[in-house]
Amino acid sequence: MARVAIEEGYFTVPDDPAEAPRLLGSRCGACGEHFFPRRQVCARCLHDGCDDVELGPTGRLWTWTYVHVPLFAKKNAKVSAYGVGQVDLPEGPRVQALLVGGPDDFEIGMEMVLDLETLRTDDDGNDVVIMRFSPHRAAGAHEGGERP
Amino acid sequence: MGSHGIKDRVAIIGMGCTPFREHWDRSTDDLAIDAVAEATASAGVSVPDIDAWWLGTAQSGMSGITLAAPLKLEGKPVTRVENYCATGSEALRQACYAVASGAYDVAAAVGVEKVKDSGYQGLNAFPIPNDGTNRTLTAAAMFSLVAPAYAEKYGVDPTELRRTLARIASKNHANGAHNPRAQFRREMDVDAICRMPEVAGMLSVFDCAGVADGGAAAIVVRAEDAHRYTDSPLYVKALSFVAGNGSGLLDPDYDYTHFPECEWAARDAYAQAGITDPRRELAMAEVHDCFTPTELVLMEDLGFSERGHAWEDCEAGVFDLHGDLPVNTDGGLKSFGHPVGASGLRMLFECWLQLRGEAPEDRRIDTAARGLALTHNLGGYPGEMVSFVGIWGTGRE
Ligand SMILES: [Zn+2]
Repeated sequence: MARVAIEEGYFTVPDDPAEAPRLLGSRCGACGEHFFPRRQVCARCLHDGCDDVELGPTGRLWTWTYVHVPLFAKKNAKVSAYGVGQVDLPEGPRVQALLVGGPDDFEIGMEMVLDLETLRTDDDGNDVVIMRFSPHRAAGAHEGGERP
Repeated sequence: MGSHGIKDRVAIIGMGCTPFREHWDRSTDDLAIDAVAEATASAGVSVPDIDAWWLGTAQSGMSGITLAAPLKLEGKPVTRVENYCATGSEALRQACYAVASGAYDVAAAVGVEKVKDSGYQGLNAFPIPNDGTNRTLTAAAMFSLVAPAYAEKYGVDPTELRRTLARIASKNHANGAHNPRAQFRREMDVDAICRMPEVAGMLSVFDCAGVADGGAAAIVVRAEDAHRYTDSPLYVKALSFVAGNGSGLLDPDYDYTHFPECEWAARDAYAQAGITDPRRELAMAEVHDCFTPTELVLMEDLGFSERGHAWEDCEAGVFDLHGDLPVNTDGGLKSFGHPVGASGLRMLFECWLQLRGEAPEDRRIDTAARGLALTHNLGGYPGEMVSFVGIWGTGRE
């Protein structure tokens, strides 16, 4: 069964599920600044023509919260709450992203790794996946378990 | 280069403010009419005496007709403005400039919002920047990101900071309990607030402003004309506004422990008003306490506390009703909710009452020695926001 991104253009979906996904970002050809998500014009020097690059898959947690409302509203009613963090990528950008884990699992400064999670199955039987960062030490530990 | 300012060139001569609550039985028209009726009565003018109008509403109507129709204005200019959660203050800012320019003798700023009609949250037409995968991130969640970053940067124990945040809400509830116009009128202690259902991060339901409908209005004239209408006008000392460019969303140098747009607006306002030590020169401040971490860091952004020390000042009661610098003496957004178009003018209404000694005795503060008040709004989210700062005073140089 194929995995497809919930929205094109934000992250890779490797054929091998064991391979970590990457964020689809940009690098300015003039000043070298990195961005996520992708952009054409550099936000720093206004150079027109950023190059497509892949970012991550690791990062460091700058700050975070745990939101007590259902994820994606009615699209995933089983989830009652979820973590969101500002994750600093090694290339520079600070990315806002969903987190894997409960309210006691996060600490500022902890290393995070990008992960894909199936949100639902589409009409063609594909797994529709979203991206989330999980604490690095717990990477793989959640496989098969129920995610908060 | 900030604004040259219009210090002491414009005066507020009348104000009105409806109760803020669930006005299921009142329309936008009703709330605007009620606010204007109180303001005109307070100034001793009638609606046809007002030469030009500014209407602040984010989502309750478009164009000046939203106001001209219910007020039955004939041949008058009415401008509808929107600037996120500073919408009410923006209407006032434009009315003040119009009078200062000499274009009009008497102008009015009216703010009105029927938030409850549009659903529970009410602000969902404001675009939230996102990367395509986080569309349900609430305003509470965005502002809750500030608390852990602040605790980490200044070495505050997060459990201690959580209680400080609850203390801010508790203070505002205590003030609102004494205000018949407030939506919530019960005192809430720190433990009770901490026990409320969680919303995001450290924040419980009671760390968040309520949702309410309301309207408020102010009438302004040239300062030299003010005493034709009232013996105790308020003079406009400063009007400052900053629209952020959103760079905080991209720039990792933005650290989520302060709001630069608010710092810039405050700096410009203090320069216009000639204020160098706001903590000791201001009698009071009404600030945009949409969520408790917002009020915390605003105490630093507005220069009331040293960086990293606002939490200690909050704990010490500096901003309590009878503290050194009372903040949100009317109960704030916490007690009033946030009808977007009206909030900025509601804040000014409290300054109007307090600086003129007309606040009810059980929440009246002593403003004789200082005679200056500040109002502040912000709209948007950490990293991308607008901010207004206004300063108002009883004396004129
Ligand atoms: Zn560049």
